[in-house]
Formats: sequence, structure tokens, C-alpha cells
Amino acid sequence: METSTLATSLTIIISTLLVLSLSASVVYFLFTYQKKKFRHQQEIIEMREAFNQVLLQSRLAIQEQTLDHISKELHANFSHLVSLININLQEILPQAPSDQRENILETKSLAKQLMSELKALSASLNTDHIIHIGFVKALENELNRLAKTRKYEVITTKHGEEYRILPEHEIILFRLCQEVLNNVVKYAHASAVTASLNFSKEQFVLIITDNGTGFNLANALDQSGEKQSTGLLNMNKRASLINAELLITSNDGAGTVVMITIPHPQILQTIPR
Amino acid sequence: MHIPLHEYLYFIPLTLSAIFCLKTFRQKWPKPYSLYALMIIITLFTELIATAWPYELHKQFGASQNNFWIYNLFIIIRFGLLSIIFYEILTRPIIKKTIASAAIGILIIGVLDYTLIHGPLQYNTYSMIITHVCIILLSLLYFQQLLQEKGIIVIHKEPMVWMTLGIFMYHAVTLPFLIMLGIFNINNIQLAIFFFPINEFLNFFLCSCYLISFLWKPQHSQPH
Repeated sequence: METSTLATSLTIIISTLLVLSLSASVVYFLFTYQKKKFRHQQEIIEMREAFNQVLLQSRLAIQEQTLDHISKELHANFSHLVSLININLQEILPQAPSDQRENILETKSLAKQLMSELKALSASLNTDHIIHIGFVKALENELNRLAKTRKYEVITTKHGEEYRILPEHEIILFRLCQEVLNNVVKYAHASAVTASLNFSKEQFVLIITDNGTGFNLANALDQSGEKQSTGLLNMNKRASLINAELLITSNDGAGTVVMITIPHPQILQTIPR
Repeated sequence: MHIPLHEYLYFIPLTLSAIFCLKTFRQKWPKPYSLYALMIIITLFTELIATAWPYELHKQFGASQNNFWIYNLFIIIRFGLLSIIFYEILTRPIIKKTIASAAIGILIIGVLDYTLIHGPLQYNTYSMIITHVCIILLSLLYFQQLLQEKGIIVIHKEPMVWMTLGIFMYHAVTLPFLIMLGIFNINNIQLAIFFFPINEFLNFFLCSCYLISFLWKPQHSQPH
């Protein structure tokens, strides 16, 4: 009887231990396999994100090259043509009948205006020029162009010690600002635009405000697919490329505030005022 | 009367699980999770009744102290609920069909065992073995499905994983002891008492897994 009890006890103990180790192995295998799989999938996601980032950068580089090319064409060919028109008008002027002189002078003045607009446009598209003068000056030029239209009251304020950041970051930041200002001109029906630049070592903050009609941000993002409008998406992508935070605050009838924050910017040099 | 408290330690995680599982109804979790919560509530009530039965409750009904009739009934009810849960969470059509037809057959065997073969007052060994083996198989099928899942699931944050882990370990490891429990109850009650901590420990582990499961929320597989 005792032998039978011992044999039964041993059977239960051994079989329980065996099943326990088998079950534990199954669970261990499941968790380790799943962990590996999860890590592998995370790597794929990271690779895909990196690929998309590279793709976006190349797209922006191509875009930049195209803008550069257009800028040079505007500067070399178009400006040259406008200069020729001006010279021709100058030659025609003495021989022209007196009743047409006023028209010719008016045309000359328009040609001059066209020339200066072409130069400004060419400068704003030219990457090398933007890198040369720096983001702040380039932005001020853009704002001056807006002010010259006399449709907008433009106010620019700067706080902190001005500095330059990486040239490629400056270009992206400038293109982002161009997109913002383009939106103001196209949609905002604003009468005042304010740009505030805050320079500090911890962060660079740029706030562009208009007093226009404003818009519903959620609706605009929803409808961007239907309207094939990629402006807001592009702005977000550009901001992410330079690790900037883009915050757009707007409501119908309440103007728009665009805040671009670059935390811990890579400062290249400070610019004395 | 000496009450061995360690035998009832599992009531702590079980009661907490029964409280936390109420969020499945409040937050409207999918159907399998609600059924799982229902199973935990039924488990708690079964354990409360089965614990109180030999002490005082049986006197109210003038019945014997034997509480096997409660556990035997619970085996069948729990298997029914687990079959529906696994039917809902397993996705392969052939497995769903097999679960549906096999579960009906096993439930019939369970009822027969309860009423005719062993009767309610003896441990229903046949029902127990069949239901345990089926639950182990269903758990393994769920693990297999997890391994073949194409999307991303953080498995340690998925309530169903913890539930399946608990019931798999409990049903697999207690099986050798529970197979012998019916024989021990008739021939050698001392041996049944000697090995009972296996059941106690795994029951505590099972209830802890229930509790952990309700710390998380159901996850939806993310496309990768």
C-alpha cells in the first residue's frame, strides 16, 4: 500500500513538473518570439520613416533646384529683356510725337517697376542669395514686399540676440514662411501682418499673425484631400524636417496665428545689431 | 474551527479582478471581453458559495456538506463560456466550426457526467479531463494565432493574452493532480490534501493573471 502511494505521489510530482516546464517553455517561446517580431516590425517602421524622410528631403532639394533655376532665368533672361525694352523706349522717346511721350514715359516707369519686382522675386527664389543674406533678412525682404503693396500694415519685432542657424534649416524655414505669407495673401483678406522673432539659446520662436478672416483648421485639413491642397501638409512636413514645432491657431473671423518653434537650434553665429 | 487562510488567498486577486472587470461593461469593450468579465464574476460567486457551503450554507438547505456539486456544475458553465470566448477571438473559419460542434458534444457529455455517470456529488473526472484538454488546445490555438498575427500587438498589454496564459498554465499543470483527485477522494483523502497546494498555487496564479489582464485595454492589431 505504501509503495503504491509513493509511486502515485512520484507520478503526480513528475508529471506536474513535466507539464509545468513544458507550459512554461511554450509561454516563454511565445513572449520571446513576439518580442523579436515586435522589434523587427519597429525596425521596419523606423526604416520606412527614414526612407520617407530622405524622400521628402530629395523632393525639397529638387524643388529648391527648380526654384533656383527659375530665379536665375528671371535674373538673366527676363531682366535682360526688360532692360532691352527700357533701352528701346529710351531711344523711341525723343522721336515720338509729343502726344505719345506721356504714354511712353508711363510704359518706361512700368518696365522699371517690373524690373524691380523681377529682381525681388528672383532674390526670394534664389537659394544661394537666401543663404548669403540669412533667414532674417530674407524674411524682412518678403515682408517689405508685402508692405510695398500698401494693402498690409506690416510690423516686425525681434527679441534676443539675433543668430544664424544651419543654412539648410534657414532655407526650409524661409520656404515655410513663404508658404504662410502666401496663404495670408491668397486667403486671409487681412489688413495687418505681424512677425515676431524671438532668439534664445533654448529655442527660436517665430510668430506670424494676421488679422484676416481666419479659417477652421480641422475643416481645412479634412478638405485638403478633396481640394488637392497640400499647403498645410507641406508646412507640417517642412517643420518636421528641421525638428520644429508648428502650431497654427485660427478661427473663422478671428485671424490666424502661426507659431514656429525650434527647440535648441544649432546656432552657427550671432549677429550683432 | 481552524480555517486554513492560505487556501483562500486567491480570493484577493479574484475579488479585485471582479471589481476591475466591471469596466468592460462601462467602457463597452468588445463581446469576448464582456464574456470574460462575466466568467470572472461567475467564478467569484461560485467560489464564495462553494466556500460557504461546507461551513454554514448547507444547513440552510438541509443538504450534505459536500460542495462538489457546485464545482462540477461550474466546470460545465465555465467551459461553455470559454468556448464562446475562444469562438469569438479565434479567426480561422475551420477552427470556429470545430469549436461550435465540439463544444456542444462536450457540454452534453458534461451534463451526462453530472446527472448520470458520476453524479453531482462525486468529482466529475470525465468532464474535467475533457474540458481541461479542450481548454489547453484552445489556448494553444490562440497562441498560434498570436504568432501568425501580421499586425503589431504588444502582447503583454493585451487582456486576452493574460487570460489565456492563466487558464493555459492552470489547466495544463493541474491536470495530473486533478485526474487523480477523484480516486484520492475515494481511496486516500490524505494524499488529496497533501497535493492540494498545487491547485491552490495555480488558482492564485490564475486569478492574478485575471487581475493583470484588467490593467490593460483591448488592443487592435496595427497594420505594419
